[in-house]
Formats: sequence, C-alpha cells, structure tokens
Amino acid sequence: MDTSAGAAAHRAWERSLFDAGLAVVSWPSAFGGRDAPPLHELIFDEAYHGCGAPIRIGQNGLFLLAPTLLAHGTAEQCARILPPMARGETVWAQAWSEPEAGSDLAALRSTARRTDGGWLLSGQKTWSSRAAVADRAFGLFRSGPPDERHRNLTYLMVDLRAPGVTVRPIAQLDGRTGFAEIFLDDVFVPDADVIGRPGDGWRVAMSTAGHERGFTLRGPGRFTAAASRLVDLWLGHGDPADGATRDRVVDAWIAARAYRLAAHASLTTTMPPSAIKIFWSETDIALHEAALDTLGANAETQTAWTDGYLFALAGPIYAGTNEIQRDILAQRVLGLPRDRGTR
Amino acid sequence: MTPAPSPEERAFGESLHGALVAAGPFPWPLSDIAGRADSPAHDSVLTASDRASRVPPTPGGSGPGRSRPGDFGLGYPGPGDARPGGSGPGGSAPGEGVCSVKADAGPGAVWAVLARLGVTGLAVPERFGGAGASVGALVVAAEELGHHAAPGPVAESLAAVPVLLAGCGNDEVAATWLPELAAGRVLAGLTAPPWLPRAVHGGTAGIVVVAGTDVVRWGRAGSAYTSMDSSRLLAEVSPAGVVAEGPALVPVIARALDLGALVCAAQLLGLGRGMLEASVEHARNRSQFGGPIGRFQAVQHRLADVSVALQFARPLLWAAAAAMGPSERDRSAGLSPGTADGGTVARDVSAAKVACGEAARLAARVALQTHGAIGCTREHGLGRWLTAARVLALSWGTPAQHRARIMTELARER
Ligand SMILES: Cc1cc2nc3c(=O)[nH]c(=O)nc-3n(C[C@H](O)[C@H](O)[C@H](O)COP(=O)(O)OP(=O)(O)OC[C@H]3O[C@@H](n4cnc5c(N)ncnc54)[C@H](O)[C@@H]3O)c2cc1C
Repeated sequence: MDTSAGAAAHRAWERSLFDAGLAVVSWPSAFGGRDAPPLHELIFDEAYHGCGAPIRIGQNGLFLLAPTLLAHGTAEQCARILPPMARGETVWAQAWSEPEAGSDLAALRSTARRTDGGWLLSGQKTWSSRAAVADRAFGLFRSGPPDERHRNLTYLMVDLRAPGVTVRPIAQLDGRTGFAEIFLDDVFVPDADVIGRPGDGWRVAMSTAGHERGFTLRGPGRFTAAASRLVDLWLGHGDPADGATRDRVVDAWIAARAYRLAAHASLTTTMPPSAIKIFWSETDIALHEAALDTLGANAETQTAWTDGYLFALAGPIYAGTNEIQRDILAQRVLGLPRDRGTR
Repeated sequence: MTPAPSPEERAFGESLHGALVAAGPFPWPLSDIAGRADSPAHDSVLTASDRASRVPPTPGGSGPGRSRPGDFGLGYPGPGDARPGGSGPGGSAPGEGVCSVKADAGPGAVWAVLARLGVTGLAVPERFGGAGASVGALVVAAEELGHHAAPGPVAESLAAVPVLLAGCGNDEVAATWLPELAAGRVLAGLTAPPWLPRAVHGGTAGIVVVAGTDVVRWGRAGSAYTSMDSSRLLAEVSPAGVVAEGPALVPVIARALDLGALVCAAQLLGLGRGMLEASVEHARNRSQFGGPIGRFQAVQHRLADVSVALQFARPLLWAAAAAMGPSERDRSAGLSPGTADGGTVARDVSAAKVACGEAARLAARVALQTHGAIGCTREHGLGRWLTAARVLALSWGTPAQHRARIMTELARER
C-alpha cells in the first residue's frame, strides 16, 4: 500500500468494488452508493473481511470524510467530492496532528490566512496515514488568533499535489511508510473547499472524530475475521496442554464476538464512541498477542501476525489515545468530575 | 541473604554502560535518538543482496582458518576495522561522533566492540583465552547489553555455546573455537529445540551448533527468515557432524541452556529498564495541554507499574544466577549440579525468565503508549527495544514452557 505500485493495485481494487456496486453500499445512490440501510453495511463489512479482502486504501475518505460531508458539507461539495472518492480515484489523508499537537489537538498551529477567493495554508502536519500515496487531505487549520483554543479553527480540504506542499513519508515499526509529514507553504485552497463555516471547524471535526472512534472506521468484520483465523491457528498449531494460551485465544474470540454484537446493537441504541474505540483497540492487541503466544517460539518469524501485531500496538494511540478516551468516558458519560489539578 | 551482584560485578556493569555509551554502536540515551540523521539503522543486519550471496557455512571439520580475524564471512568489520571512538583516554567526547562503528553495523561490528570491552570472553575458561568470569558478571553484562538493545546472538554466542564447547570433552574443538569466540572474532549460532527452533544469525555466524539432550553437533544453516525484530535474521538449521555425545553431556547441555535462558532473562530486564528510562524521560519532556504529559496520573501509574514489575523481576534473576553456582572457571570439565542432583537451577532460571519477560513486555507496551506516535516510527528507535523484548520473551523458552517446567520442578520437590 505504501509503494506507488501497491497503491495503484489498491486503487484498481477500489474501482472493481465500485463497478460491482460494492464500494459504498450505504451511500445515497446519487453519489455511487446503493442506499443500503445500516444493517446491510454491517453485513457487507463482515462478508468483506470474512473473505480476506484487502484493507481499503480509501478508508479515510470513505469512512471519515464522507459522513462529515454528508452531515456538514454543501450539496455542491458532496456531488463534486464523493463520486471520485467512491471510484477510488481520489484517495484522502487526514491532516490533524502536528508535532506539538497530538492529544492536545486544539494546540495546533498550522494557519489558514484569508486571500482572494480562498485561503493560504502554512505549517506542518504529521503522522498522516497513507499521505505518501494520497491525492488530497482534510484537516483543521487556525484561521484566527490562537488565544481561543477551540475557536477560529477552520476545516479545509487541500490538494496534496498543489504548489507549496511537501510530503515526507515516515517508516513505521514494521518498516513500511504508513504515514507521512506534510509541510505546507502558502498552499492555496479555494473557499469551495471549506467544510462548515470558517472558524467553526472544531465542531465539524468532532463529528469526524466520532466516526473514527465508532463503528464506522473499524467495523466488526476485521476483528471477527481475525478471531476466526486465530481459532484456526490454535486448532492447527496450539499445544492442547497449554490451557493458559487456549484461554487467551478464547478470550480474544469472545471479545471479537462482543464487538460484533455491540455493533449490531448500535443500530438501535447509541454507544459512546470512546467506549467503542477503547474496546476495538484492546481487542486487536489481544487477538494478535494470542496468535503470537499460540505460535510460541516460532512466532518470531515475520508473518502477517507479527506485522499485524506491531500495527495493533498503535491502536491505543491513534484515533485519540485510550487515555483521552477514558477521560471522555469517565467525565462526559459517567459524569465524574474533571480534575482541574493543583499540580 | 538475597542474592545480588557483588561490588565488583556492579562496577563492571557500570563501566560497561559507560563504555557502551561512549564507544558503543548506538546513540544513547534512547530518548535522544528521535530525528537524528544517523539514528541506528533498524535493518542493521543484512541487505537483500547480502542474503542472496550468503554462502552456507561449512559444518564440522572447519578449522580456524575458515574464520580469518576480522572476517565474519560477510564482510562485517572485524576488531581492526572498528575504529574505537571515545572509549580510551583522549577519545572523542561523548555527543559528537562517538559511534565507533557505523550506525548500520550488524552484530559482527557490535561483537568487535564487545570484545574490546571484555564481554565476549566472559563465559570462556581462562585456558582458552577467556575470563572464566562469574555467572554474576555475565548476568550484569547481559543486562547492560539489553539496556542498550545490542543486537546479535547474545545468549547463544556469549553464554551457551562457550559452555557447550568447553564442557563437551572435545578438546580439539574447544581449543580451536573458544579462543575465537573469546576474542569476538567468531559469532556462534545455536538451535536447541524446543527452546530454540531456529538459529539467530545462523546463516552468517562463524559456527552453528545444534544441542540435543545428550549430543552436540555442528549445524548447517538452511533457509533464512526475517524476524519481527528486524535486527535479527533466523536460519533453519539441519544437524551435521557430531562434536560430542554421550550421557556425560546431559548435565553440560542442561547447564549451557540454563545459562543461555538466564542471560536472555537478564537482557529482557535490561531492555525493560531502558524502555522505562526512555519513557520517564519522554514523559518529562513532552508537553501537551500546557505541561508535561508526565503530570497526568494515567501516564504516571502505568510507568509506576512497570517500575514495580522490573523491581520484582530483578531478585528472581539474581536468585537464579546464584543457583547456577560459581564461575565457568570451575566447570570446564563439564561438572555441573544441573537439576539432576536436586539443585534448583531449572526452577529458578525459569522463574527469572518468566518474570523478566513479562516485565519487559509490560515495559514495551507502556513505553509505546507513553511515547505516542513518535514511538511508532523506525526513526525514533524505541522499536528496537520493543521488538527485541517481544521476541526474546518468546525465545529461550516461551513463558508457557517455563511455567510448565516450574510446575514440574515444584512437583518433584514435594
Ligand atoms: C499508526 C498511527 C496513525 C496515525 N494516523 C494519523 C492520521 O492519519 N492523521 C492524523 O492527523 N494523525 C494521525 N495519527 C496521530 C494520532 O492522532 C496521535 O498520535 C494521537 O493523537 C496522540 O498524539 P501524540 O502521538 O502526539 O501523543 P501525545 O499526545 O504526546 O501523548 C503521549 C502520551 O501521553 C498521554 N496523554 C496525553 N495527554 C493526556 C491527558 N490529558 N491525560 C492522560 N494522558 C495523556 C497519551 O495518552 C499518550 O499515552 C496517527 C498515529 C498513529 C500511531
């Protein structure tokens, strides 16, 4: 995926999905979808991962930007942006984080300065997944004085091929350049590529974050499929006398099943995204830990399980760290007081 | 009295740390690595073309001529090529160009440094050119190598194989290879199923040894595999000529493997300590929400848990070192209490391996979480500690294998 040949193959795959009418089942048909109800989307997700189909290169756009546009974008933006996204022609990257703004996203410093017909973006974004192979990026930029942390932020979409953009790929633990730094130097973005009102970006961004943490980005299929592979692994390689490892395998399977059932339950009752995010990220690690334990001394050899393990370890970090999710869950859902701190 | 390193051993560990900082192959401390152009190359061992052109090592009768000093069979720089940096008086000051070997050095280059620091000869008896050092000195050294995430077949080449060759009763082999191992001119690979199904660097090591229950053979390296820890390359090994065999070898092999597992446990403890230190440093320096992230209890408590795990793994490590008894000097004839005569070596080594492995695993997870995205990059370097901890926790006996062994021993002791 991080090489141009790999990315091209992934784009071709997205196109095949689109041609089969399977790229974006739940979207309005006007934009390339089939108006499928949420339940069908869940069924699709499980079938997709169940047959071992590849990771979606377009996931940032498909699962995060698209719902944001459908909720906050203009009709013109939806008509212009969604169909090429569905066809795999435009691959999107997320540009929120900055070197000094990770968990504390509101500390971001990249700026959007008003100019004729649009904005000039400057600054540095980082950890942007798939930016090395993406066409465009969306994120937050400071469009007014920094004293008001959550105000004066504007949600913009930027062309990564535009003059003034430099993308530097960064290698992750498994050696692949899964994310990148984005340097912006007076990059022009037209007014048409602002989502929501200028200065109101934080509110819009929180809706994107909700999708990132919830079942939209991480459907249950990925985990139920991994759990099924794990059970096969145990049955093929596990040591029947090793009850402790068997228990970890079973616990990981239970977690994946719980996640699936919760996803179905979420069709009728709401669930806090922070709880969902903590659960999927911990489940992913548990699945891979159990696989490594099952393989025992042979687990060291680099396989899909070891690569998956190294990536799973990042789960509690991206999409809002699990510490931040626990704060949100405890304070906003359970209603516990905030520690304003004397330290 | 709780076993602990002797004052001399402690001093040795400290001097080794200092020497590795000054002349070692990797930038130090870990938390300074981020963003350095010369950050330690993760893929330090072999390039793809090296792998392709690798000549399978000739087993058996290969004499010392096969391994010319300074030639590890792969163009690794030998001792003469590894320009020492700031180790000696008048060496360059730490902080500027202190790396005595290139940042992309493989284990061969690391070994040259270790030889200079006297580490490669620790487990080799004096009459074969080694130091015949105490088990404690070996444990201290191994912890420090873990602390610095030194790559290479540490437990194999520095501990188990020297003990095997010194104790196996084949004097010709011992006289040929032990001086080479002691001088750091040769790296040894080892397989010993089920603990060690494949040999780390087996394809490039000067010698490959296969340990059975009562037989020691040379091994022939076959297919190579990349590891989750990209500084390691694993080789399938098929047994070849016999070095020595017979019932007298049983305790020798048992001791060699226990010493290897103990050294691996010590490495794990050192890896955990390195990750905790780096995490505390990062938590102090990284600012979010208007202050260091280390002020958040969520961060503090996890780091405190790591500290507890490491502090309570250490006494188990030292109890196992004490159970292993005196130095290799007194054992060159292959005498060993092993476990057969009621010693507690097996139980104690396994307990140390489990505890150090679990502590290192916890340290790795917490370290990554504390570092955030920067820790997920190769450039940063934390990944070297993290992946080493994960693979060493499974190497030299998995936690499940060691737990099972402890229960067997406990049942036997009833
Ligand atoms: C694999 C991966 C992919 C990513 N992809 C993208 C992407 O596509 N686009 C993008 O914009 N970003 C991306 N990110 C960045 C991600 O959003 C950030 O890593 C995340 O927000 C955390 O920021 P940080 O890494 O700077 O860690 P920090 O914010 O420095 O946090 C370090 C540690 O301190 C803890 N901490 C911080 N604040 C608190 C607090 N108030 N209370 C308790 N603990 C706290 C954290 O939980 C964490 O454990 C990605 C990250 C990873 C690892």
